[in-house]
Amino acid sequence: MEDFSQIEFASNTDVFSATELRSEIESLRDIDYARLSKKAIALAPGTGMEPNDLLQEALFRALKEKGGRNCPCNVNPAIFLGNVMRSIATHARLDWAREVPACTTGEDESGPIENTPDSAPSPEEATIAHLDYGRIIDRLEEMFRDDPKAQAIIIGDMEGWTPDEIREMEPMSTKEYDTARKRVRRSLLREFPEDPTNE
Amino acid sequence: MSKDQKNMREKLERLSNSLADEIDAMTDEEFQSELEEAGEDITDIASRTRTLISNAMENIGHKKLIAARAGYEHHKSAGHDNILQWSHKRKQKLINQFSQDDNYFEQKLTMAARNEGDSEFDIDSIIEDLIELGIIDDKGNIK
Repeated sequence: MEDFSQIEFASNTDVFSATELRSEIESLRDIDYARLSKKAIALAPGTGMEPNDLLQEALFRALKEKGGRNCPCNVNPAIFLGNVMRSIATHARLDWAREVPACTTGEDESGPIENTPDSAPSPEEATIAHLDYGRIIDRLEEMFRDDPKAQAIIIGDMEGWTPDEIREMEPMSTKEYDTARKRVRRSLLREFPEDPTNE
Repeated sequence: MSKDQKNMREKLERLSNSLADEIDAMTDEEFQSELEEAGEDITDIASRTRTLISNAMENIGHKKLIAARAGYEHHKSAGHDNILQWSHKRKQKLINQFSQDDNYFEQKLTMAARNEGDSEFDIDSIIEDLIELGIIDDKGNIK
C-alpha cells in the first residue's frame, strides 16, 4: 500500500506571492537559467513565438498578481516556469493553427463553396499552415538524413513511441540508443530548425 | 484544422515536450557536461538569460507602477470618500464583515496577513474584487 503521508498538497496558502517568486527567480543558479533557456528553445517550435518571447510570457504570467499562475512553494521556480512555458506553447500552437484552419485535404476541399463562411481562411492560407508544420518536420528529418538511429528517435518521439518501440524500428543497443538520443538533443538545442510560423 | 495539420502539430508538440522532459531529467552534472561537450559556455547562456529575465521583470514592475499611478490619479479625482483611500484598519474592518462566514475571504485575509509587505495591496485587491462583483460601491456602501 502506498504511503500518502509524504505527499504534500498545495493549497492557495502554499504558493509564492509575486514578490517571493521574483526573489526566488533572481536567486536561481546559472545551471537553472541555462535549463530555462534551452527549454524555451525546445518548446517554441510551431508556436509562432521566439524562445525568448516564450520565456518572457511565462514570467509575465507567473508574476501576475491577479489571475496569474501560482508557483507552489515546494516546486523549484525554474521547473515551474518551464511548465508555464509548456502550457503557453501548447495553447499558442492551437491558436496559431486555428487562425489558419486548413482545408488542405481532398475531403475538405470538396465541400460546397457557398457554405464556406466569409471569415474562413483562403485555400492559400490553409496551404501555408499545412506547409509550415510540414516544413519543420521535413527539416527535422532532413537534419538526420545520414544518421538513421537519430532519425528513428526523431520519428519515434513525434509518434509517441517508447524507447523499446524505437529500438524495434531501428535495431540498436541501449548504449547506442542513449548516444543517438544525445546527438539528437544536442543538435536540436543548438539549432532547432527555423520555425516558419515565426516569419 | 484539418486532420493532417492536427497530426503534424501533435507530432511537433510531442517532440518538443520530449526534449523539454529530457532537459528536466538530466542531473546538473549531466546537463553541464552536455553543454560543454557541445562547446557551449554555461556562464554565457546563464548571463544572457539572467539579463533577459531581469529586463522582463523590470518591465513588468514598470507597467505595474504606471497602472498604480493611473489608479491613484483616478481615485484622487474621485474624491476622498473613495474606499481605497480609507485607512488600512478601516478597510480591514469592512472586509471582516464578509469574512466571518466565508472561507474564500478567510483564506484571502490569511494570505494578506502573511505577506506583510503586500498586505495593503492585497486588501485593496479584495476591495476591488468586491466593487467589481457589485457587492459594495466605491464609497464602501454594502449594496
